[in-house]
Amino acid sequence: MSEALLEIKNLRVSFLDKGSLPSREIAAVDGVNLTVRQGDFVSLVGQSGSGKSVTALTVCGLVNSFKTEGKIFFTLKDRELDLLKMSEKELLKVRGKEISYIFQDPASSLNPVIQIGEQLDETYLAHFDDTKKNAEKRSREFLQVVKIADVERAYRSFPHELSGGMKQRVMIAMALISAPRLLVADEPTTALDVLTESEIMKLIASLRVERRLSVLFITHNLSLAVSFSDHIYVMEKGRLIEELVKEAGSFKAREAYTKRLFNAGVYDQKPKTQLLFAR
Amino acid sequence: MELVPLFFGITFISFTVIHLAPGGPLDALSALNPKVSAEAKEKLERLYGLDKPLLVQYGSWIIRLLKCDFGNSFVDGEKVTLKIAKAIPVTLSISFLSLLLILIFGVLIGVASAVHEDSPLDKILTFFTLAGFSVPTFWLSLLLMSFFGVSLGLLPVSGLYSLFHEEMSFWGKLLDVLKHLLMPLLVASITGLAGIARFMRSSMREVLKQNYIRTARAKGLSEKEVLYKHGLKNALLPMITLLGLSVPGLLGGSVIFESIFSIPGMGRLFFSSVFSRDYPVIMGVLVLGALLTLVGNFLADLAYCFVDPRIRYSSEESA
Amino acid sequence: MLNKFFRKKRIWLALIWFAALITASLFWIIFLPAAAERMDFSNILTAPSLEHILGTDLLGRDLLARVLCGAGISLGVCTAAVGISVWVGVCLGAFAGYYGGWRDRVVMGFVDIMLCFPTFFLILAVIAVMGPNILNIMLVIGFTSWMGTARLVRAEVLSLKEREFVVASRLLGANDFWIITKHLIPNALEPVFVSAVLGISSAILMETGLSFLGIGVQPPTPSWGNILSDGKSALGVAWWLTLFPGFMIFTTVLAANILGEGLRGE
Repeated sequence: MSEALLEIKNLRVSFLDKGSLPSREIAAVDGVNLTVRQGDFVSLVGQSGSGKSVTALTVCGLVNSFKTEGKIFFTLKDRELDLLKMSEKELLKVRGKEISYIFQDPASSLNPVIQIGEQLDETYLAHFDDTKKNAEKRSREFLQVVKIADVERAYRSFPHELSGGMKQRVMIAMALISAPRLLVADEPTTALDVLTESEIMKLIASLRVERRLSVLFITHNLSLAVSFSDHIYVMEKGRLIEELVKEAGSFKAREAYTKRLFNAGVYDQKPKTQLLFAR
Repeated sequence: MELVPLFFGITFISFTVIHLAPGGPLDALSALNPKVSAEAKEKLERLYGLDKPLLVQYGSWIIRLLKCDFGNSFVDGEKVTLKIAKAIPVTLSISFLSLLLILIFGVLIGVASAVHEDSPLDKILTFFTLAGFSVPTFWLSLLLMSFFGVSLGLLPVSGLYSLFHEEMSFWGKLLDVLKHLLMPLLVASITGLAGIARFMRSSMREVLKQNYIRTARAKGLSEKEVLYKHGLKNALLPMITLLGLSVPGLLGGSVIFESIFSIPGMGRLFFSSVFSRDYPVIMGVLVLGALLTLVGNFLADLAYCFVDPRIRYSSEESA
Repeated sequence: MLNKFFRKKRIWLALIWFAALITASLFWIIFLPAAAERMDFSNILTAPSLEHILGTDLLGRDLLARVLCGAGISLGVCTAAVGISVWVGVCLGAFAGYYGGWRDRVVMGFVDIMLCFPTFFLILAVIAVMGPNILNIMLVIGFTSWMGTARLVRAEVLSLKEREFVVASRLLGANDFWIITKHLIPNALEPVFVSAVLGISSAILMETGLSFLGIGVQPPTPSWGNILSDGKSALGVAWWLTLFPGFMIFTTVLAANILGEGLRGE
């Protein structure tokens, strides 16, 4: 079994509800344990409000919480670092470099008034002391890596000139340009149509193999997770309900909630209607 | 474009406003000078075309306007265009400097407030902007005048030039004008500054909540880069339009501080013409003020189109 | 929701200020109207003392009395002016929003034209033409401040127009006027209320500005503005004539702005 890259231990993240009198503390994440091993594709599945996004964002300190407790261990150059105990300055060396993010809505996740090329260049230059020219070269390389057809045009465009699928590819390029060890993908295909979703998922899967990347994939779609993951964690209301391990090519679910989640995507137990394809 | 109907609308309203006078514009003239006999009045009426039907008067006035002829002052017979031409540069320069001040400090304060959200600094700045927005400019002028001008004797309280201005060196002249302009500028800018600061604060706060800011942070960019390169750029966009919209406020406010500080600009010209019922001047300044506003808004819109890439480059779906 | 409104300290302060101001000025106007007029030439321009708490003015009149009567005048004129502007704005805005088409464009074109004029210029011009008395001031301020309200109401009406209760009402046979007045306008009033409160603050600034310049409320009727212009003539000699009336304007406008902002934050 390969080594653990990311280990989340007993994570508890709470927020302050200022609307009530007196203000209450609400735990969005309550005692979550999660491990991502080197090279694995791990999915974190749950409904909205289950705390899955908060868990993922807390890894790199992207959440403005009231209280965060627990430990998040990340293996960097044979050293184990507790990300929760790091200062902002130290965290900046990990965030965007060793651990990269892609988010759900690529349209709003890209700065509308800065060119795509510039947004890529700055990511690289934030972590590597190199010339602008080299950064531009590298950006163009990565636009190719994510299989964008007209690289030069995309490089010069502004986000609103690209389609949703292309924007997400750009996000992936931006995430991979600093050669991270872990990619955290927060529902990257939820805002995309089915065909584009399939393309993006296949892209992520292939890049993972090519670049020896580990992936932490957040989604509400259990069937999607089943198709791509080595390991699945199921969350509900801030708690970890079940951990699914792949044995002999399939996952065995024990909890009723997990079964409900999966069956919710299947509308016909015995498919009486089928989609036939004319020859 | 829509500028043409706006122009006609402006001139029409200005024209109507003046002719609201019960008893006609010439009544006031004769009221000031009782020696004017009835026939003299009739003569004047024919001279100014006031005996013709209103629409005809409007028409001939428009034609003269387009030729840049605003008529002659009732008070001293000087060409209105000349009077305005003497006064406009002063008001325009003060307005321009004012806009600069408003932009620079308004943005600074607004951004500082937004970045340090809910901190003591934010609360103080917010209060000051609210106060700046509420202070009556004529009161502020008087306070400044009595404190800096009379009590401390530091700054001059009227006019643009001191008595010995002509004899000063170049730098002396510059300093002299600046000293005279310091208090008026402050008064002219304070309301606009407060407004821009508050708007900037809320604009910046909105921007900082956006997803692309989260992306910028997730990429590992320094907080400075996130705030200023990504945040500020977006927050500043609506500012351009807002600056354009501040023009009528600046012009209107000029009446007060120019009168108090005896600055020979458009505001003071307008005010004295109102006092003496000098209708050609009143109409001229009114129309010009509105036109300046139009131009200001137009320039602001143009600048905005140029700066916002979403408008500059039309959307093309390149699959 | 109103809980949040009443929580902030400064909103309470603003409300108390208004309550105190209105009460005090009404009291003075009703019970002691002569105090503002009584001239005492042996006591011209005296500094604040026990006898005259805020001092006396150029004609020996008690400043406190004049300031409080002026409060009543200014508040009364401005509330009336705002009332006019709200009325005009609501009517025109609802009309434009409901009927749409060329009627909408004409009204909005009118709004655009009016917005091109520096407001103060326009007000001055009209007062020059019609003479400075209290009625004219009310009308002029009212008729130059309705544009914002009109736009707000139009926006609200546009969005409310297609809602179910309107469609249902129309199906039941209600005519346009009924729908506009009984359904659309009441629902559109919330932002109008906020802009009315903020409108009072700008109306006060305009009225006192006009009075200061001498073309607003005419002496001997007191207005904070014309008391301040006395202060200008006595600059450097009688600081109380400048400080107190100006302070009243400032605080009242500030209070109105605080209330308006507080309401808007809902």
